[in-house]
Amino acid sequence: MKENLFLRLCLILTVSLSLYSCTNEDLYSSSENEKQEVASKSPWKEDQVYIKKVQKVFLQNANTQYFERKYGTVHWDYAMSFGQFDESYLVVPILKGNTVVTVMKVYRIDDRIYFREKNDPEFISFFTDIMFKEISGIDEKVVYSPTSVASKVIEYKCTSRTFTVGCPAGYADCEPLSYTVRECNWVDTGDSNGPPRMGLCDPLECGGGGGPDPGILYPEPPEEKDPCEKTKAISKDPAVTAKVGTLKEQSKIEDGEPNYGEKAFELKNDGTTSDIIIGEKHKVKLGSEAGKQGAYHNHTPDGIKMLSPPDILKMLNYALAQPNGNLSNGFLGMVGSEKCGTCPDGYKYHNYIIRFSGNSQELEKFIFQTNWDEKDLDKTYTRRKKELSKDTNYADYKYGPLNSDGLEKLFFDTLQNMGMEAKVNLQRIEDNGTVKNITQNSNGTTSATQCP
Amino acid sequence: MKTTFLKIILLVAVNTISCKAQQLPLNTNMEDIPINGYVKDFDNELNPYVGTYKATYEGKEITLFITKEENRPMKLMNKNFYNDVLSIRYIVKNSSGIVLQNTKDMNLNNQTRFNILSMGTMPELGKVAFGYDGTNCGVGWGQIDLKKLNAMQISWDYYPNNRIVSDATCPPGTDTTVYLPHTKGLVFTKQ
Repeated sequence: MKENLFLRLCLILTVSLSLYSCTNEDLYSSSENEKQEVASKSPWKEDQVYIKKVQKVFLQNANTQYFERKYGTVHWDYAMSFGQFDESYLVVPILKGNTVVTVMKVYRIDDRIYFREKNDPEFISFFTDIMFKEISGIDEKVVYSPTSVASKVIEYKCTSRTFTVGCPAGYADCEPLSYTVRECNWVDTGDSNGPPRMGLCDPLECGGGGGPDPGILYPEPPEEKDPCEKTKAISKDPAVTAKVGTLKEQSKIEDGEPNYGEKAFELKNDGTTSDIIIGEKHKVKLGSEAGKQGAYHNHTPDGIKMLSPPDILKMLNYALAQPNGNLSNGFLGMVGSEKCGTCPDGYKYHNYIIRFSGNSQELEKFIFQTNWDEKDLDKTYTRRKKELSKDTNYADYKYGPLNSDGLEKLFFDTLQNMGMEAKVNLQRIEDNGTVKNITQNSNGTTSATQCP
Repeated sequence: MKTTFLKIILLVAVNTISCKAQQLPLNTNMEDIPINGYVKDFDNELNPYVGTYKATYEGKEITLFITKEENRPMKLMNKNFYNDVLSIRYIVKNSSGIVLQNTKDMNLNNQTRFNILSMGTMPELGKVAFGYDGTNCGVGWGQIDLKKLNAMQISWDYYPNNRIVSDATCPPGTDTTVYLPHTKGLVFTKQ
């Protein structure tokens, strides 16, 4: 009898659930029919691919009636990506009648998008003017502006949009007025301090509510090239090859000889290289990471010919400066050399590139939430080098300079000490331009795998 | 009941003593040093280096003040332990006798640069290896090796590393000149 009752209950539940889901599907498809794709009315150039895909995701996930009751109607025709074209960011006005009541921003981290309310009076009035007033002129400027977070200064790409509101016909004594709004590609981490989540549907119907925002799956995020392709592209670039050649020669100069010291060059986002930056005996100064993929520098004959803790921290800042979702475009390269009797030109070169391979949350954790004891990191690195040099598997001779295996082991030991195991990709570039991924084996040794 | 209580006391006492007093030889690898372990100079290998030494290099007079610090609290790999070390402080003067850098009177600790602390010995070479934190902004950080030549002389090798700096990590105007002699085989004489 009991079993029978249970079966009946199950049946009722199944039927009611399927009925419920049918109603919801009707609702969604009807709203989809209502909202056709609309041409952009923004006077600026926008990331239409992202806007259309986000609109589709919104319609698939939102209960439009609920959303309109709670916030208003989303006007996708005025969605703006504010200078971002990597499917990462948009703001869109929400109206009740002819009034802009709030603004929704949608940003992407990896393959998820987050819907947030940007209830900012400046943006509300910006959209009101753009939608309802006579605009007589527009302008757009991209600037890199410094932001200070947790005592670190990071530069973010900010886009300023200026527009001029013209005068209605017949108003001769009116002067056109210009307004500017600015939006920066600051990455929100989804924490409680960020702007509030937007409820796309009734929490009673679709769950959600408390806890961190899981975001919504974003279909087909832009494909990232793998680290091999990225480094191969760099190492094949004639301008890069020529400048790495200059740094290789620089790395041979001994103290006391003319021009001894460190030099570097930067690779910009547009693929061009900076001039060679001339440093000093034991240091080279690089500018801001903004607008740059990374930098290459040389180590001098007595220096350890591997990327060091400060080099790793510098690379993290390059990763952060990359347009959202392409963290591993950021890199730091190093070349060093040592005399070698059996090598073709009398020198053996150590040429390495590092890239961040974790996600944005991990990067933010390493940059903003970790209080690095840089002196401890440096001391540990120096002492570990001394320890490894005892073993002739890792050193050219006992207590001598580390060989490739030793240098690579020192790097992975350093990553482990920094809690960054498997979050940084190490690549070795051979003299003939071949790129090899270096990985650590479970027994602590390293392996080099040639890029296809 | 009383016996159990005594047993617990004994266990805790033994545990505390063994934690505090775990002694390890000078060249123990960092990963093998337990928290609060004590890396001890059992054979007094560091003692012969203690003293004040002088050399001139490229017109500069360099004075090294080498002392031995026993049981010095250390923090490496985020791990606290104790280490018998040699510590080098120095004064560098130019040819006119003007002091260019003086770390002898600086207030140094694990949180500052300028420390030169021994990291262990290289017995086969008869040398002691030191780690140098570098001058301001960590410039010139690296390894210094000292070799006892005889009762009066030691030989100096310095292997400085490299560093990328920016205005954020090293404010403009900071003196980052490395005053220590970047050379190998420089002989210092005991004063």
